[in-house]
Amino acid sequence: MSAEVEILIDGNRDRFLRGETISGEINVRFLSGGKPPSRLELSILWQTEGKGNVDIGVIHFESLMPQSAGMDRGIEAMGPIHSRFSAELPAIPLSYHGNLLKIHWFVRVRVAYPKSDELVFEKPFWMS
Amino acid sequence: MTHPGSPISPARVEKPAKMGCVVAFLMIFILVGAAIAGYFTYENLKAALFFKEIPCRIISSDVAGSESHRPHIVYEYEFNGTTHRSDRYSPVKFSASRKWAKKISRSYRPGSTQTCFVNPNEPTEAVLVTAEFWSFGFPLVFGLFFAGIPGFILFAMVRGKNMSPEASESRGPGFRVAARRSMGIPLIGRGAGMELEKDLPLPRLKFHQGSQLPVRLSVAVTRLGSVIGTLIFALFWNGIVSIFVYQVVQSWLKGRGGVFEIFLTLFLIPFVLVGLFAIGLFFYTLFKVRTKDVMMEISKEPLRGGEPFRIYFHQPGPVRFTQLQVRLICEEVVQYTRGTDTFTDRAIARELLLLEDKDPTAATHHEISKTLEAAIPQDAMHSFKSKSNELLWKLRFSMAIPGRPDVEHDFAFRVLPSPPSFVPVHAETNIPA
Repeated sequence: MSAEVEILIDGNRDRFLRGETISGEINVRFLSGGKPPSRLELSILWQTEGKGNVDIGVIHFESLMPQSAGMDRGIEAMGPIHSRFSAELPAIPLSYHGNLLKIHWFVRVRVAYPKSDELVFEKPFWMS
Repeated sequence: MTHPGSPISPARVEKPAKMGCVVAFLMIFILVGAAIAGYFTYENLKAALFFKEIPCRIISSDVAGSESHRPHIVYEYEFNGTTHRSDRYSPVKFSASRKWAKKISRSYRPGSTQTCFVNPNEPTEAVLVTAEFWSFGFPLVFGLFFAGIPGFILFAMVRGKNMSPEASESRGPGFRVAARRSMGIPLIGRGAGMELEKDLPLPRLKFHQGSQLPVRLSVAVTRLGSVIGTLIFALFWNGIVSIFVYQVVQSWLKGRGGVFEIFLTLFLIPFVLVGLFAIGLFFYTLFKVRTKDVMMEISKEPLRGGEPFRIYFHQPGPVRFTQLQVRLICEEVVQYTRGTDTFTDRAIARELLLLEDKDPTAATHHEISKTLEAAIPQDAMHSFKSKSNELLWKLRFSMAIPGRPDVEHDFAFRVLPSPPSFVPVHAETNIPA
């Protein structure tokens, strides 16, 4: 693994009401010797889990790749990345644990490398 | 689940989708389409731009071909003091209908003088037309179409491969909700009710103006639709099977009772049984239709968790029943893919019995009309609909009729969340004894 990601939600909260604002901070540290990523993305989303195919709904999305970052400049040139996020949660869907279906909410950071596996870091929270 | 205070989030590794085989498959179509379009374009442009226009004399003119037809016109022309003969009509051979070929051959009467186009570098090569739609435009359009559709799919795949699921989905309804919110448009309320399902993951349902209560609910699956569906299946299945049954019967009648006939007869038995089952299913659904439609109305739609509402239903008689029930149901409906097939599974997440009437005598009722008071449970999960997952709220009307199949109709409606609280949402079944 060539990256460490810290997802911090303000107030250390893991429960939110619909319509509330979720905010926090993302800290990304790339380990020396690793490959520089091609994409670094932050999203706040709901995702289904269960017997059915997985569906997602994204309510906040942003690329965290710094403008100065380049494939040719190496991982050292990227340095640690600190970014704050804030998004208003929608009315639905609420978190749900059913028989065939579950609905989860996450703050998710995706680190993608060219022609390689992708690393997904998640911080779940409950929305009611 | 991660502990809320855990500083470093654990990583999950996702492998990007491999699409080498699909790309190779699509590339075959793209290359063939491009080759067709390229070849036809090259031959036609060569003739149109470089061939020299000279007079020629038509020797004979008729139609060639048996399945598809083309004009066969023989003509003579003189180039650089030498007489040449050719029967080539267009730069690329093209066949079509007899009518088309005949129309062209008639316009080149034998003995008449016409214009032909000769390749100055190869005087034996000549054509009567250079860039006609049938020989130029049509193959070009066909080739581009043949290459274009797989090319578009490949483009979308490559574009999608460079995009995460989140980035791709960030163009969807979730973002439209954010846009509406930023413009101050209410997300849930009477004013926004008609557009709820466009912006939020809610089922799309049809409603009508009610007669006794404001909203008339639509039945989830029309009975007429199921009758027509089973009829089409029964006709299709039995139509095909009957061809083979006829052949076998003919063989037996002609006295051919060999091993092959015995094998074919045994082989056909399960197919005939399925056909008989299909006919039985058709009559079963037809008997159900004979019971007149139930009308179901509610006082408000969408409803909220904890909200009381009224239900009115009407069953036009005459009808006999031994048991009549109205249930409030929340059902999980999920679709999942195994290989190339898609399956649907259902589970009742919540069920409340609102009405149960029993009549062991099965007396004839001229009609049944009732108004009920009900309430959506306070901690109920709201309606939800995404591509493959759904939480469907509905009223189920069921009736046991002596001597006939039971009648069961589902009427769907939407439930929105109750005012915010931290009540955890769980599935449960709650049927009073």
